[in-house]
Amino acid sequence: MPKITCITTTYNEGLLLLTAVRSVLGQSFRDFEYLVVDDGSSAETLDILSCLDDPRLTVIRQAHAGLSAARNAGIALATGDYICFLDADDLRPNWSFAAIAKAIDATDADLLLCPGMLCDQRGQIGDFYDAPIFAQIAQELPEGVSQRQGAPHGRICALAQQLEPQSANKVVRRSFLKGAGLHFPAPYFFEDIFFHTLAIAQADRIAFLDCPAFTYFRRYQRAQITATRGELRFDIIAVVQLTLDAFARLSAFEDAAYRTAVLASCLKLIDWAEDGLAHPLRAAFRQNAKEMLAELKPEFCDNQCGCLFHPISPRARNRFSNLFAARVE
Amino acid sequence: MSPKAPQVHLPSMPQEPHLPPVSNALGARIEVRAFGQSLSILAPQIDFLREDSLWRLHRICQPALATQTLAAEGVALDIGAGFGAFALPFALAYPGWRVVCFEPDPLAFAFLQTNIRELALPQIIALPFAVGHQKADAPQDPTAVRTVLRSALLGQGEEIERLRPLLPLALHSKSKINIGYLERGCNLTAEFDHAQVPTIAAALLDCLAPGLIKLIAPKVEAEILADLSGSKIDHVIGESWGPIGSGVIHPPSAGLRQTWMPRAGQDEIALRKGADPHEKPSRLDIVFALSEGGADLATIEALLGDPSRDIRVLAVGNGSADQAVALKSFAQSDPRLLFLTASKPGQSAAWNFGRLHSTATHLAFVNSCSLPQKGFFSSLFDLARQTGAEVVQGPHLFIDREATGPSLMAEKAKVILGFEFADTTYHRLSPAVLLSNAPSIWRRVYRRDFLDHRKIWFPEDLKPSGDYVFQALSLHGIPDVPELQGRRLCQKAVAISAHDQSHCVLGSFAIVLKHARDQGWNDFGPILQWFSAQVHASVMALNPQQQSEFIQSATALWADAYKLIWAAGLPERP
Repeated sequence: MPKITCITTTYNEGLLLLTAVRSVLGQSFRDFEYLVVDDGSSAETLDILSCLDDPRLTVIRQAHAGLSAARNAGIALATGDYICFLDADDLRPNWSFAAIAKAIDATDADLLLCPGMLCDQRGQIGDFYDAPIFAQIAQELPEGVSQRQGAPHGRICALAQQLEPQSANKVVRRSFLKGAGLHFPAPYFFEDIFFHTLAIAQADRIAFLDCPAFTYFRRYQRAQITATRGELRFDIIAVVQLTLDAFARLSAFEDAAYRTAVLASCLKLIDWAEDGLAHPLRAAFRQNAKEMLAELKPEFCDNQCGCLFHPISPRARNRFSNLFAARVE
Repeated sequence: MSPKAPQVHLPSMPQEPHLPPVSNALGARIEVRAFGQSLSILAPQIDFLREDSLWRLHRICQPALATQTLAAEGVALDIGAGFGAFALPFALAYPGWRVVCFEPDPLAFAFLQTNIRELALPQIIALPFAVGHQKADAPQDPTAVRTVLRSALLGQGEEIERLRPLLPLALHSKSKINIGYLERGCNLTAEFDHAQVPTIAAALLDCLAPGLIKLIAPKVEAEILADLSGSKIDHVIGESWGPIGSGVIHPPSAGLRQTWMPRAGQDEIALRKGADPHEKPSRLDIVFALSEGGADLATIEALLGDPSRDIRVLAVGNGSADQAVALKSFAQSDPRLLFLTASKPGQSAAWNFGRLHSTATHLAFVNSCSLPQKGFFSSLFDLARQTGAEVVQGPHLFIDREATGPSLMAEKAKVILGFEFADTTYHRLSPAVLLSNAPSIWRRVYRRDFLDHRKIWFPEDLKPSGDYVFQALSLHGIPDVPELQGRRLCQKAVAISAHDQSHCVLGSFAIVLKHARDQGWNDFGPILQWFSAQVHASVMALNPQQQSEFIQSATALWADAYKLIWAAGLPERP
């Protein structure tokens, strides 16, 4: 049984797929399996996949069913003790798995959260967006691991919740993932917040890596899902609803500050989605979001923002003033 | 030896072949965390030397290597190794790599040797020499130097003693304030002392077959990279203190050259190159829409007067015999000129046609009214490569062509000076400001992948020009537009009838507005500002009969914009 399973999904990435593949196969730590799930790509990507030859790599093909379904297919076939993800056009530095394995051995965590780097469209290299939150966590948790019984666990979870909900920043113990029923919410896109929230909320031990373990590339060469201006963005509303509903059924929901952190991170996504949406779709999006939020458990709006790194923004409060006015004031 | 060496006696830097291990009294033990490694090493108790190295490790070297995939094995050159802040964790994280360190500062070198010994890292070879370049630092017996270097890789030892007598001395300046900072040449400011340092020419390092270079060699970086231009190097990281033309990381067939090397204190300027598998040849294609009348020779002369070999001119005409004859002689004398025949008439069609036939990474669009100064486009191209910006531009001036002086072609025979980036300045302009102004396409260089990704083309059916549409779509949503000072492009103003101009204003605004709606723009201010100014100008220019119809159309468009913007709740209070 390998120590780590890495899952990459691909859908028509073409040569860009080699960015992820080369970086994973080039890891200095070699006890891993690599599952590449092809989500119904066309010939160019299939040709590239057919040329890959490494005993650690398995290609899984499926009819096009979306990113969430492809990741779930990978999870179902994973055999590693721990599972991580990497998008096809992103990269793990050579030391990534070695550092992850070392941290796993040292902490026995259910969930390891990793900082990353960002290479933007101009090729400018810097920290990933959530570096300040990792710094805050490192300051509050010098030992780098938090467990449920520990006093600051709720506070650490609230901070961790506000990290970018990006799949590459998580390494999850497979037995924990199966036991908690963690999965991606097929058939929706913008799926990461669901997995992110439920992984953090249910992990008994959460550890934080102290070195970058992935690099996220923003590119002009291919259309990224996040750049879509159309109806695909409505998926966010559905995913947020699933996330908040699922979170409300967990014991972590009892922590007022933590549940506000979850709401804040979801509202941040909804805000972001609306800001990039084509104008003819915005009114419908706002209405749908309002209707979804109106069904929330009232406790979500307790307004416990004091400890949050990114509290609910004034703009979100303004956009969804009905929600907060009705529930709080 | 540097040609700038002053006529005074200068001491050689003390270089002991067998430095004893440094004592803890001279140094402090520090924890270094990088590349997934955590190690305790000795560092000099000199704040600058220690903190500068650690800052660079965490802000440049680790981020750079986090974006690159290295082969399992290779040879890395650590030029300016200091006490080993980079080399030591690198050697642990990349155990298949051998690291050859060059560090001329005696104190830092002593710590480097001690750390290598303590951590038992025989794959690191430390040499107490500076690295220079072949033109100034060629040894008398390069073969002997190469032989010793190769033997060092094999772990035969004694390379320091064997190399020292073979190497020339080169003048360096040592900072008295930032202890440990050493730069090439004679810095005459009071901050610096001077010393002669045994120096090895970078060209000789090719014999080590390096796959990675970490380069910290103030004021000699460009020469070192030029010396190694023929080496198949996949990774270049470091920092630069002097001007480096971006061409040094784009030599043909010389490894991947994935590079991250920002300018010290100004990291938005950097030698930068990723490992994009789709990457086209790093080249600028200038698409030149030929005029109907054939008055294009001065522009062709000016474009070909640019000395850069990374620039091509795609002259796109309508297939007339006059054009072909006129351009034939140019094309024969300069292979950088290609002559294409567009299938549709008009400037926009010509620009689109040229772009479709280009495989370059960057594009520029000019017409027969454009007259760039020599080096204008190569400077812009360099700025584009070193900022990664989607759009860069230079200053322009509307002029009468007769006032431009002698033919630039006539100057071809003169010595062509290589441009120095550091001699110019640039600033970053707000795209919003440019968006509200009249279009000036021809003074810009565009990233081709950006235009392709956004599907930005010249609207071919918009007469007389789709320039504003192209300008609006290419400037919206980018962080800034770097503008280089110095060389400029002269543009002859073209007279357009008020009637045509007014139609163009309406058509352009309608296209941009539709695009803004579908792409979810959140800031309409600049295009509204442009539109209102253009409406005002058009009304003033049109005759009374034309005014009425124009105002009606403009009002209808304005109403559309109003409905779109305010119905969508914009501008929204935060």
